[in-house]
Amino acid sequence: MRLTRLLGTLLAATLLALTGCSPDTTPPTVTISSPQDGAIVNTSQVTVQGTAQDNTRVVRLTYQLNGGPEQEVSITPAASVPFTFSVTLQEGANNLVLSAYDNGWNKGTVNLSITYDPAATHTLSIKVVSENAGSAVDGSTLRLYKDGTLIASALSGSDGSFTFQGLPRGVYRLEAQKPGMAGSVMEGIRVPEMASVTLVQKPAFDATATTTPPTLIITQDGTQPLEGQTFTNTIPFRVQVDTSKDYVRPMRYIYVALGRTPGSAFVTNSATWSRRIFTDTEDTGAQALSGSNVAGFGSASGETVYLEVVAYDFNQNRSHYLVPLTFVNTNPNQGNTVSAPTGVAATAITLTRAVGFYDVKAPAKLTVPVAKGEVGELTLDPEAAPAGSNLYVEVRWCYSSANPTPFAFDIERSTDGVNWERVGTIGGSRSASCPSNPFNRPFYFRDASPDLTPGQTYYYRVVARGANRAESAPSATTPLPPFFAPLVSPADESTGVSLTPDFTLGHPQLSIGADGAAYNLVLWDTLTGDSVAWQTLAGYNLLVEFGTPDNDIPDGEAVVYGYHPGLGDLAIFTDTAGVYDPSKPNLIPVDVTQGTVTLPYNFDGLAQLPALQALRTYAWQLYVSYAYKYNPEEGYRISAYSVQTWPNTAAPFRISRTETQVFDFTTGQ
Amino acid sequence: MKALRLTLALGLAALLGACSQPPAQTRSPTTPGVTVTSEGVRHFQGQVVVGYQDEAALQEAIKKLGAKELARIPELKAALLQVPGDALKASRALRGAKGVRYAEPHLAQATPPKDDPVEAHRGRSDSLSPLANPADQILDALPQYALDPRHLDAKRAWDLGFEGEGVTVAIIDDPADVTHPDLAANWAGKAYDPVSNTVFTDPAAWVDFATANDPANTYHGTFVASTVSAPRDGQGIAGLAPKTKFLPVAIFQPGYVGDFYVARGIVWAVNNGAQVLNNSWGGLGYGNLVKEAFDYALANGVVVVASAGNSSKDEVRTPAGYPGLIASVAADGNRNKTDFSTYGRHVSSAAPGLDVLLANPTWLGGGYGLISGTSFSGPYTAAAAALVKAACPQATPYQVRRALEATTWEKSFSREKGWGHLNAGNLADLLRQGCAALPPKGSVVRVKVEYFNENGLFPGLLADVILRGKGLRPGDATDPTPVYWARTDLNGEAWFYEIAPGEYDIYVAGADLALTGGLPEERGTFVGTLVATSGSHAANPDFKLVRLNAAEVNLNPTDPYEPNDDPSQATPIAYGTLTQLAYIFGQPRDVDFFTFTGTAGDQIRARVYAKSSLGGTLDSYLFLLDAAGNLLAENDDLVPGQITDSEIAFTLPASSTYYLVVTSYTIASNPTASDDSPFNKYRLELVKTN
Repeated sequence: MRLTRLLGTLLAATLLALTGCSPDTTPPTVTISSPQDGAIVNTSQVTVQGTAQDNTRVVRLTYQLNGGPEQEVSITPAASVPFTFSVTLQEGANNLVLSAYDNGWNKGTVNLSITYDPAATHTLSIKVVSENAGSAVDGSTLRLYKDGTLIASALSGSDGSFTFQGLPRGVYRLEAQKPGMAGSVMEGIRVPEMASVTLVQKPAFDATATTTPPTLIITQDGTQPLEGQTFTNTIPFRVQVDTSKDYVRPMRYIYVALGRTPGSAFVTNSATWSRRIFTDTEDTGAQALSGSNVAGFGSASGETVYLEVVAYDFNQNRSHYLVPLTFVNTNPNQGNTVSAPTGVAATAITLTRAVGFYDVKAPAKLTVPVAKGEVGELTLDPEAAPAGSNLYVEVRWCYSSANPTPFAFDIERSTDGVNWERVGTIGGSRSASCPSNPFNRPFYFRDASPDLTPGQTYYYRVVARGANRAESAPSATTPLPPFFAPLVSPADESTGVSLTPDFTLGHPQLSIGADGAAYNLVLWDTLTGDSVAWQTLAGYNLLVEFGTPDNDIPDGEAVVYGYHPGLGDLAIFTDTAGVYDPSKPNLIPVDVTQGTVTLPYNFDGLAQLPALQALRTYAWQLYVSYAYKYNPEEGYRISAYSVQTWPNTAAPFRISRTETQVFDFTTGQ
Repeated sequence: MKALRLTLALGLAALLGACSQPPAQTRSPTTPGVTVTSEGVRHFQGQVVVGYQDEAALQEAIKKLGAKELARIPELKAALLQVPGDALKASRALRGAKGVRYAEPHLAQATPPKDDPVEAHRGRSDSLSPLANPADQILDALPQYALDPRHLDAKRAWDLGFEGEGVTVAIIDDPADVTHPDLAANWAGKAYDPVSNTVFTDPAAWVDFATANDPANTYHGTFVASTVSAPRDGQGIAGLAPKTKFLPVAIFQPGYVGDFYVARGIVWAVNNGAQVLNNSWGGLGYGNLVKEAFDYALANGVVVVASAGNSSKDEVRTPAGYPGLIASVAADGNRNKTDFSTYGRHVSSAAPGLDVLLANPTWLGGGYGLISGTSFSGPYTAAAAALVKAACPQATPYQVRRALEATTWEKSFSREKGWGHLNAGNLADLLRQGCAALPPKGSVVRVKVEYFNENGLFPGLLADVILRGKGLRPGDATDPTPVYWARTDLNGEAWFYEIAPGEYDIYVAGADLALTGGLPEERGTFVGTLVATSGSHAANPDFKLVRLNAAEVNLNPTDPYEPNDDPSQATPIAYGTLTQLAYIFGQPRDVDFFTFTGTAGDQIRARVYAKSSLGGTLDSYLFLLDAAGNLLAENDDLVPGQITDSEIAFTLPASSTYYLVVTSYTIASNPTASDDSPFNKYRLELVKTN
């Protein structure tokens, strides 16, 4: 025992002695927290901050600017030494060398390149979204390159945005990376012409695969350059994936468009403008943009327009290239004297469950330089497009065939009805048709800007452009948040359910600021049967409105109504205040406080049987469910929808959202 | 303003309503010859499937319907008949007929692949040489994330010697391309057209058949076959069971051929050596015939895999929901459920079903393409089942299912993915331990239902039988306790093949009132318990006899107004009267006359209450005639497609005698058809509304 302890003491002493005698050969390290290596600044005075560290202690710190003599930085010697000092840069490139010394004359150095550009006063606002019209991506690492040099990096904020400041004029490349997400890159960002850009970063198909976006070679024909060239009416192009670089095969899509960021046809195409799409290929071959691909862009004398290419590889890694060129458009409609578009109706559509659109609508500011900082600029809002949902505004209008055809329609947006910002341009056209239903009007544009925010009122107008500009009257819409009406009872997989059950669902109309909601309930008898046991109102929607200022129903009261095909007429089922029916019917009870509505089985007399069958399993679901908002200023037109469930691609939504709760239940004896 | 707004809203409501109906199941058919009934039953026009007990019963049914026999499946005692007039109505006319086990329209509720947006054909992928793809995704020549070690982990299974050798997998789908260079080597040598009952052995002849009708929409089966059986041959891709043989059965040509031919195809596949059936198709609604065909497969030890569906919903679709089938959820590249996949308590497991790279038919350019759907997670599951069957040919379908479920990545149950994402490597580790290490066998349950009352004992036809596992936690998304549904045939038997052993609550309720039109209290119910024992089998099932104290189904009711078959016999009916229960019954083409006297200017409303309001089988038809027998008005359905009862509102032109004539739609619409059922009941009401 004693021997052991002795031995231990001896060993400890030996170790100490060895340590004490060994020469220190470990040099200090210097870490600079600011400015970033490669940074570009717009003031000559720069504060350098960082930390020097050593295994013993740092005793001296110096810097050399542009090869000049070593300058002492005053420090208190320690193992870890924070430092701050200022230097005065020369205009242009600067090289700063920091050196730290320890007691053993070991020296650690670090180099820092900084460019001083007095004209580097521009900003670039970034917004990262998960898809077109989709929600923000936060915490994504953004890297900004200029001329191949990383000049700044940052994380996107909780709203998916970040603004780089103090940038010099130039052409930039922006990359985004985040664990679990695919990589995304935007090449050819022009500062200051493009003051804000949207970067789409989709979830990775396979989070373990590479997140390097494909590298594209964009030419006229495989050899002739495209960028900076002049084209008349037709733009030849060929897009090839550089197969010597990293990406994940097979390629999914290559989109090519003029004047707008191409993506899903649903969001980016319109009646008079279209993009090109190439599927499952690494080489588009020799192609050309013409006709509706270029409608509304360029001018007779030539105008700078961007050709935009977006490509997705198998892992959803995305490359977006902006290629400036001069486009001459000889379309004679530029000489027409045009009239104002009519029947403009803007309708916001929120899809509770996101679609997974490919790509984003690009602001028109990407195509034609628009001075940023002008009034009317929308602030980025953290509540834009709530997570997992889509939000876009569909603008539809007419343009009478009695008028000369415009060259282009510009779609403009405002938050005050006074200051307008162009959000898109499409080719001009005219039509004899102008249906009363706004959703059937011939011309349309879907604005999927990532900053559209529920609760904010937006005004839209359409400007016909020819020899003159003719502005339409504005139309307003206030987007709704996502809507979800939960099934309450009969509960999922419940048993002993009444043969004439009450179907209760949550009706969160008031909490999302809507004026009403439409439902269609379907009761399937398909577990042991083969048919529909009941579809409320034989497929016509049941409209439930709790009182709001805009639906003319008193606060705390409710009206439930719908078209009854048996009656061939409108039926008021519930009218708690007697607004429409003084007898105050209460066929469909509501609870305005709790936000529920209860549909008694067969309230409409349209079920297959007067009662359900004993000990049989049925399944119920909302086949249609959406909330809506009136616009009293525009004749009580419905100006916003929030869609939970829509069964098909018919108007008004033209996109099916079939995911819905399905509750099965078994009746009692 | 208020009125204006309401009107506007109404206009929109009506518009939207029109758009929102009918439900998906009842959407307009896209297959020629397919029609949709008022109840939304999608079926082949004028075709009825009859399950018969013996030849005499079948011939009696043929005679009764004036039908022609089109085809027959002797193994299932089922025949397909062509009838004049409406199939649903004809099938109902057979209800209660002696020796008829069931009669149903020739159902076409399955969605053809070409009509499924999730599974849309995207064309082929060219030049797919690997680059950034990890080396472990290259199993053959092209990258296959689905098979890599982070997904199905195929190579680990193959390296251990489990490649499905000796197993035949039937691809019940559109005709798979047996000439594709990456499939030809593993074709079983036979392929089947169940419609013409033709077995093909010549590849060129099969391709001619496959491409005879809309080749652009015939691709699905080729993608599916390659999921299972593409060989490891250094070209293109590999299937998960690369040494299996595939056996094509063409049930989409490219429209759905109907339940009858599907059943015939299933039976053919079982009789021709298939040990696994892959069913990358489905729809909504219960169909006796297909369920019986799958029962035949299960009774023969054949594993049946079905895609859960692409409906995005937590719901039971068929055939995925039939007892004993393995329902597959589609997973994405991160092993999560895809947005579109159907899911629920009934699903077994998940497998890759998003953007999987598979073989494209030669008639569409050949090569390979990306495709998505539970249609592809299903065959990966079928392939995994084939690995088990190759190692342990005696494994029962339930053991195969449990072997797959017990070796997933997650090994825990959720409604989203069943027991989890398949892992063939883990499965191989289990198979290495020998067949004795397989999970315990499942159960086969036979429930026989009888109705009894003071008149005697009757077979419990058209009854619902539900087996609900004891301890089931309603709504709990992690509870794997099963529920099974089946319907008795006209013998009163419901079979549950290859289900989980254990204790069940059993719910039984008698004759479907939607068909018989009985009163709710006549249905008869039973609630009890049943124990399903591991190892019970078709020859010795767990048996339960259930006798329901149910009212006798009256097959010979009395119509108090008969005879009233012509104007001279017409029954008087006064304003404000509702008749007693009457029947369109007792002769092939019964027509009931009622008469009343009205004054010029009287506004009358005559309403027939029938199937939509009383139950029963009568889809009524009402005529209003003047004294001379001239037609003044007629009505089929109160609400087209919804309420099949009839109503006429009419202002009388003269003071005179009038006739109201009630019959059935079948009789009214077809001068030769008969509609003679004891369930054809109605009441007639006449009111003056001014």
